[in-house]
Amino acid sequence: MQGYSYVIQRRVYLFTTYFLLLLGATVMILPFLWMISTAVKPANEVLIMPPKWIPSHFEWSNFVKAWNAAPFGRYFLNSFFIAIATTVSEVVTTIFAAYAFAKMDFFGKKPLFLAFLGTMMIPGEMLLVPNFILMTRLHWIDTYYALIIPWITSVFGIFLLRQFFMTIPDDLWDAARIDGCGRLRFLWRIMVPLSRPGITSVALFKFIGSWNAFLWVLIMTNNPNMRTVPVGLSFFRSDVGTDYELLMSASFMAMLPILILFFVAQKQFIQGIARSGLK
Amino acid sequence: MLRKSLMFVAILSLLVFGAVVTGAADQVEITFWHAMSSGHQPTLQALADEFMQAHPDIKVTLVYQGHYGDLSQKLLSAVAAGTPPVMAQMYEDWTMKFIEADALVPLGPSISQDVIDDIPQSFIDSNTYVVNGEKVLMTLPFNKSAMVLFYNTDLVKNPPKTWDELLQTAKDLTVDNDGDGTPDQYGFGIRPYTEFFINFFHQAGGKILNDDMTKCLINSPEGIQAMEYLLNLKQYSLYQTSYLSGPFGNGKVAMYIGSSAGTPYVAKASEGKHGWMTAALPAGPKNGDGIIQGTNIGVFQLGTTQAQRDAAIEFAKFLISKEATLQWAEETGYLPIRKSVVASDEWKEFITQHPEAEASGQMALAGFVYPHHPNMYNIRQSIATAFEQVMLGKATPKEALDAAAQEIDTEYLGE
Repeated sequence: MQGYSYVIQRRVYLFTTYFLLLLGATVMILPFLWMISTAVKPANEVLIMPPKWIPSHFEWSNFVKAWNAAPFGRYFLNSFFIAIATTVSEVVTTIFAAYAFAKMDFFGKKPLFLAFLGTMMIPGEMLLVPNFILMTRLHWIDTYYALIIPWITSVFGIFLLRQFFMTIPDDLWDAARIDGCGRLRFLWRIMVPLSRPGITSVALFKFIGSWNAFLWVLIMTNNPNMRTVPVGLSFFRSDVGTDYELLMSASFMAMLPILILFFVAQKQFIQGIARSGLK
Repeated sequence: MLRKSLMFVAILSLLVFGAVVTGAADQVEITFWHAMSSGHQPTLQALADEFMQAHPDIKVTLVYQGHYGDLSQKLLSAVAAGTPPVMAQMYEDWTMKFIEADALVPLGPSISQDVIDDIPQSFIDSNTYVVNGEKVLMTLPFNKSAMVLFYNTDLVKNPPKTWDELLQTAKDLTVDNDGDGTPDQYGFGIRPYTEFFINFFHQAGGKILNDDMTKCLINSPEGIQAMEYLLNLKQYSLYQTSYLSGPFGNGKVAMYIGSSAGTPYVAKASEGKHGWMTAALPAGPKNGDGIIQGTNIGVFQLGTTQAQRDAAIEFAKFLISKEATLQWAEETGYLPIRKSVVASDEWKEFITQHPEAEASGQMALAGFVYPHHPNMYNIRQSIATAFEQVMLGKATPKEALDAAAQEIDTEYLGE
């Protein structure tokens, strides 16, 4: 009898859990579904209330129109190149910096780290004009330098990875040292493999951030050949209205690489957030 | 492992540093920064192509710089860095900042008087600035739009011509089928933005600032009259902050007042659902004018060569030519900026096929513009806040407008 009620209790518990999860999942996925449905809708069905989820006919030509509205081929190429270059560079620089802050002792470490964190308090928009002037003086406007070099490290990445490195016991370093291992070797052989989820998180945050970057790219480039996908997306909105069906089909295409990346790296990503206690 | 990683980093940095962009041309190249997105860019490009065919020694490079907000940010940064383009679209309040930085070439001296006389006065006014105590035609009108009344022809047979008719028609067309207290169809639609209110304010005879721009007059009796009228109209209106072309297309709103530049979106949203048309604005107690919006063209002297400036002025003159402005107006829905074009046979022929363009042509000749003040952006924000507060019932018209006027006087009109 007792076992029976336990089974019922357990079932009610599971049912409630899954029901709530399903509810949450539905809420999260609705905008995504709206995007897909709008991407293949004829223009006059986009804003119907209540929303028409299945269009009266599928307007596949939206994709062609959206693709041809701007040089998206080139935009994708640039987005990929910039996102990969900044991601790889940031991972390398943050590993070194985070290791120094987490495991080494040097003069002025604490104030330096605080100064680093302090830079996160300054809103990026405020620095836009000074940065533009700096890039102009360097003659970097309209080059990949302006799109990549200022982004090859990030304080957030350093902070995230430092927290990660700090959880790795110092005993490992002592043991390695006894065996004649140097700092660099220890870092690459021990710390990095042990911190894979953290590093993956840093990389993913960067990749997504870089993929979505809009204002910086717009301000630092004039040549359409140097621009990226989000600049292309802004093309479908104007001050008097939005071509939602084209915007959504372009957004869908723009989001695919990120989606694939997330599926591939999902496990690492979630572990990374859970382990460092950060969202 | 370490060596491999280092190699990778080395190769990557080579890739990054090796990427160089080159570009050179023998002709005079002029860059034109604009904010015309997918819908209008093809027409702008076609005009540039036509111009280049006639002027093989000039190369016009159009550069899309995002929306107006992005474009203004970009222009302000570029002027600060001394590297603006040769020409750009610009709103009046940005133009004042460029004039302050002595960055612009006055275009007036390059334009003949008969062309100036052929441009509606409100367009000339909005492009004329006081520089060193003198009035100078600094920029030229380009993509101008007017406010028009959009109405559902299945519901409205005779569009309202006065405020009273507008109120009555809105009342008649507000229907609550299921009796739940919320109308299923609204006679009118209101989106709370400054220009919408300013239109009614101006039609009541109001002026935003006094002549020497030292005092805000938004809380004048005309302001209160306009606000009270709109409060009355709101009872029969769908009130929302997003574009009204959607609910208009779905038949939820029978009429609304919006920018003529939104016409393509109205056409798309209404297609296959109901007929629609535009009309000149219902007239208020004092006049039936509508505010003119949209940007002008300016040419920079900062960081440009004489040859580039000459070429840019040539292109600007081409853009306001009768042929170009006709093509621009026909293909984009922006206003024809020459009186002779509105009166031309080509335009009349065009509006027999596109009757929805007629109202905007009429409104082009009955336009008014904002006064030029460097803080106009903030002044507009204060007025928008007052309008919203009244519409949401948070303040009476007098309270809200008094507060706005006081804020504008102390914050934005002081020395």
